[in-house]
Amino acid sequence: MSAGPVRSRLEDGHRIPRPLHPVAWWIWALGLAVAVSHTTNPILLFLVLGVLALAVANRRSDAPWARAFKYYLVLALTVVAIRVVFRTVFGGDVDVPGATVLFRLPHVPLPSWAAGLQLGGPVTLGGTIGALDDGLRLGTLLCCLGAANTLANPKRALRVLPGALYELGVAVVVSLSVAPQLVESVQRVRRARKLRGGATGGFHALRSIAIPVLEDALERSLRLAAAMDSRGYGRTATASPRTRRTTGALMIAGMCGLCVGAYGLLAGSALGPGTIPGFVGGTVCCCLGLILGGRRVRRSRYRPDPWKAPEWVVAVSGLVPAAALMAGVGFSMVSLNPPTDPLAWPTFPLVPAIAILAAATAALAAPPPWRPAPTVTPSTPSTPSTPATAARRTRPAGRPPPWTAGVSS
Amino acid sequence: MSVDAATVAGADPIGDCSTTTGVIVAVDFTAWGGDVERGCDARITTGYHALHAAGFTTAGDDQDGPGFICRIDEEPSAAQESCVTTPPPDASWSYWHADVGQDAWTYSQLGAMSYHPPPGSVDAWTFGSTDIGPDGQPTFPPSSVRATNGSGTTTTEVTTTVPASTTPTSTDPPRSPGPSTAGTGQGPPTTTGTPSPPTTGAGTAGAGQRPVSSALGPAPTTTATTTSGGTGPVRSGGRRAIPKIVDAVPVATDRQAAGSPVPLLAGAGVVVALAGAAGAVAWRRRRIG
Repeated sequence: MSAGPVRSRLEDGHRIPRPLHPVAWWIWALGLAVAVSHTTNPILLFLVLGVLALAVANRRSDAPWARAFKYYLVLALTVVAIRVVFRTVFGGDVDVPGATVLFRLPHVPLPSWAAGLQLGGPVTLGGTIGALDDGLRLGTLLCCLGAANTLANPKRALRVLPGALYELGVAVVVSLSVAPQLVESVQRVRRARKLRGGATGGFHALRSIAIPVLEDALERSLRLAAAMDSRGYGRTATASPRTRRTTGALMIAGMCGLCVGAYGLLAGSALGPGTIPGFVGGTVCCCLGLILGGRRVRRSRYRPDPWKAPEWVVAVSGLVPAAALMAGVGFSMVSLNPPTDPLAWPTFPLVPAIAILAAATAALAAPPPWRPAPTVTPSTPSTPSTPATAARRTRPAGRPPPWTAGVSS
Repeated sequence: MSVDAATVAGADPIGDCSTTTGVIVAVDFTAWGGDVERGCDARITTGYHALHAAGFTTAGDDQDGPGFICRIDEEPSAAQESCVTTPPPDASWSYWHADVGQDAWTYSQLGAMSYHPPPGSVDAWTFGSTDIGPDGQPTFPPSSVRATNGSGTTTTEVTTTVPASTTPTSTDPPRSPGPSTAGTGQGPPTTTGTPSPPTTGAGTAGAGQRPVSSALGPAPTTTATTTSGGTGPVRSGGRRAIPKIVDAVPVATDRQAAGSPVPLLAGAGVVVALAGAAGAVAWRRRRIG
């Protein structure tokens, strides 16, 4: 039991462990995601991955859903692999004079109605590296969301949703909690297989794990939604049909407007005439709908999540890279997207790199997470522990902290 | 990654195209105060290769790869269009065809890499807002750029009817006829008709003064039927004025792989340091836990 002093140093000694406000983590992660969507420079993308890994390693809790980051990394690798394979097979590469051809796949001639598609043909170095960069961007984007899911308690994140979304109770609960549940189910099913002596690797295991995992995750998300429903979440009985219809119409119209506007804004190059009106109109409609729907929902708070200085630091540090990469001041926009035709070495733009590294302050600014003592496994927090470890803890043994409630089955 | 002059030297002389062989590629540079430049691809493969064989260089955008023609002969310039994502439809190159005997342009339904031009046809590239209907066609008729079989009269007719006002006003920054010093004199020997001066005098004065190919090189085939006839000037009279049409001078660009690997290594160092820190923290947590 020599872990005591080491551990207190790790947890910054005098800082009281507490979970950070989930919204702060989400703002931080989404800010990084916005920055990622602006670049295909592999140096910057790997920097983002490093920042995410550091924050997750330092500030994740020990709950089952908080051990998910490696799964998101595997998912990102899969995305990169799929992107490269598609680029290789469906090519689009040609013998541009001067391009380095890695190898040639047999070219399959297609009929004229499919002439927009190319099967096989030369595979160039530039095209492959372009596909790698592109896949890496999508993979890093996924990892940003994965880090948010890993760092923020998904069930506490549900509480901060606006009251009007109660209308969509079940859908919102399932959409927010299915990814963490999926990860948790993978761990449970794998452990169960291991206990029975079954293989945990290989294709056969994959098949016999995938089905129970998918079923289990959805089942548990639905069960959570039902439990919340029975406690009044998503209750609509007090609303008159007219209000309900108005709220619904406003929300649907607002979402349509937001979709059109977001597409126009993100596509960038095709800023159509409907972009700005769609975005503004959609925002207004959504706000009206949320206000109208939220008016009749009365909520009481039992244990509010505080929003203090660490929350501010984390949220702002995530918005810094987003702002820096969108503003494009102090560096050339070309450095964000290294050219692949002709192929060139990626540059190392200093301003975006510093902005991304600034987001790493979240790994230190956030308060250390509460962790159960070493002898207690997270899934069984009520296991009686030895008096020695219980005395060292900040909380009395046997009573799990409130934020782990609901994760133990 | 560098391209030697051999690839540029592959540009086919305009005389290799006739009414039944090869494909003529015309590129409209009037948006930058230039002319309509045309070249010939004698060994037809795809529209993309035809563009290169005719003496033009292209660049794709980073998002779509080289298959999306974002620049032709370095136009639009990097300041005007970054060619990172797909350019907006009102500021990109559009691709038109006219088969043998056709006197109207057809908007290409296929990309340049997918389209295989039939022999004797004409491809045209125009820049700017594209109306696929009849009003959005290139400002010059196909007959004005078509290959003839040596008579040369029709094209002379076309070029002489071009009013002087069609050349862009001097307020526009004129498109220089390319860094043609690097052309290593590929163009001049091929145009037999006019004494085309080596266009070393690039820059401001050179624009619009490139030799008009009033006489095409004598083509090897001797079929005397010219499909274009005299319809070109007549047709153009009722419409907009035809811009000046010149033969393209191959432009050599260096496709050198730019930059050095040093930034990548420096970045990799920072990433490794970051990953090392994350790994150390994770390892310590595991040891404690």
